[in-house]
Amino acid sequence: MSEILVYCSQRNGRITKGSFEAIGAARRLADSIDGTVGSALIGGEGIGGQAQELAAYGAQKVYVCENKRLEQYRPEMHLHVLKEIFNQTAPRLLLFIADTNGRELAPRLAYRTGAGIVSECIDLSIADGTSDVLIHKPVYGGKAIAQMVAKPSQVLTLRERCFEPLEKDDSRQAEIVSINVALPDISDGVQPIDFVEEEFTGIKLEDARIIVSGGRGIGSKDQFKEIEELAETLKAAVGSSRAAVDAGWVPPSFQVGQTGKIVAPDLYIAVGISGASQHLAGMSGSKCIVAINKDPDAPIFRAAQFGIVEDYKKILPGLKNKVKEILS
Amino acid sequence: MKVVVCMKHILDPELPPSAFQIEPEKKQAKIGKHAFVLNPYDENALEMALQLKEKKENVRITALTYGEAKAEESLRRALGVLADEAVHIVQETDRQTDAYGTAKVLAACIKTIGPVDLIMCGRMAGDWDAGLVGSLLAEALTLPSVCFISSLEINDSRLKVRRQVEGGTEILESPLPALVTVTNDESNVLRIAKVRDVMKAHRKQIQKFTLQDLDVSESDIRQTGAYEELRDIFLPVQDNVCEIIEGEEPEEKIDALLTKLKAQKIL
Repeated sequence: MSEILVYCSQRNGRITKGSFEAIGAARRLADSIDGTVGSALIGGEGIGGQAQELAAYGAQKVYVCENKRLEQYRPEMHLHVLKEIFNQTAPRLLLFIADTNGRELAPRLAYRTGAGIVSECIDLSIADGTSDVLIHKPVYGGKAIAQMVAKPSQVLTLRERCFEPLEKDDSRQAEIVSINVALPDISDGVQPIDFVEEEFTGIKLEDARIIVSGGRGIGSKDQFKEIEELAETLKAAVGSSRAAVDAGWVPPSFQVGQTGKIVAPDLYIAVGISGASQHLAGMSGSKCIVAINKDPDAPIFRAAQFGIVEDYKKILPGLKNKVKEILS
Repeated sequence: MKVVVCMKHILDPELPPSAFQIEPEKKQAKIGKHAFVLNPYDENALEMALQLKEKKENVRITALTYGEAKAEESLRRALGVLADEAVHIVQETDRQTDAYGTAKVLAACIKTIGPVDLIMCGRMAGDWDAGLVGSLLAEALTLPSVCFISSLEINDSRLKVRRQVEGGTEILESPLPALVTVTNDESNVLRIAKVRDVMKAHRKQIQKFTLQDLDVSESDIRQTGAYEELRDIFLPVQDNVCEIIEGEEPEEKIDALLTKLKAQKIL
């Protein structure tokens, strides 16, 4: 029977939502090939205490490796442990959520185990009448989709918010397997020195119900304040395209897109954003997209539900005031 | 200190979806007369290397690409912003090599032109959107590596980088030699070349290698194993219809938009 292994991603010692998405993807696939889902939980002392949470989201086995030296993310250490689990379980697939750490670990583990590697998958299925795993992955900035067949041993990263987690069910149980492995001496490798937390007061992009986002068309850092004011009125988060980050109008943490944040709010208002595929890949899952752009041919209108073809400067102040009236 | 910046010459990612087509036989984009450009994330890596050279003595930058004859344009561009030298591994076919294959070719070349102190790659290429080659190359050369850095400094032959992650920035150190992949940031938008330097760049010698020169065979890199088979490539179904809000005055448009959002219970 084949096993699908999921690397459990963490941030500040907590399992990320992305891990549950990956377990959901694994479980749906496993159910159709009579396989099982295992999860690799690697972290500091006490991390095993979160194994039940992985079970509740559908992991049937949890491989736990806890050690004080694993508390901080050190790729060399995590790779060492993960390779051990990989060798013990010989999984059909190993899934990572495509967050910063997953994107870094996946290819390196693939290289070390000789497995295949495909990144940023958005759909997984079994080909009819076979046991072939079919992978869908956007290419050319989402302008096309490639379909690949997985190797017998394949590492994948899954794009965030493309796979639904299972409904949490605390009655689900998982077999816990302790992994004992001697950790390597990595004193001569990459060392974490410090972590600077994002200075942030507003609403987080990842949690926002509404996002107001600005792009190159905004024109300047000063004018970007219009975006921030509309966002504040709407109790929305502020986002941006890559162009606004490169221009220095907003910090990189505001960037929405394939290499920025992947978001899916109820309402996404794109202002002065042309709609490069790169950007669309990060927000096309939004329930409703409103585009405000003076160029009627801007690709953003292809993704939007509602569009206003107009210079944003003629729309934003009035929109802000009207919203204020409605919400008061 | 020798810095290698790995670069890919790609179909312009700004090409609008309306102009984009697939070549089903080759299972890749139809090239036609579309422009090719230096991959935007490789521009960021190149800029970071140039800034390092300005701050530190004895830094020599080599721009390296594996690509068809036309990839030379991206190398000329790098020379135009004052990379010191350029190396072109000439790809004989127009078929894409997978990430394992590309890493293998680059590794063979870097061993030939080495020793190298620092390898810099863009975080991913804007055509295949994979972001794998940097990490695979680090593995192939057994180098320490850090992905998605936004800045870098070198003190006493130790590398110090800032790495953007969810919720903040990690600061990491690594011994050299090492490999980094670079993400975009306000600080690393590629400078514009001076006309004089561009003219000079066109006369500069580019070192060329074939795969045979590097002892790599076509079969070594063809389907080396990123996946079993590329079965198909297709355009996503575009079923969205955008409702353009009409109105004589901006005010009308605003009212109409808000009415619609309220009707859908979004506001």
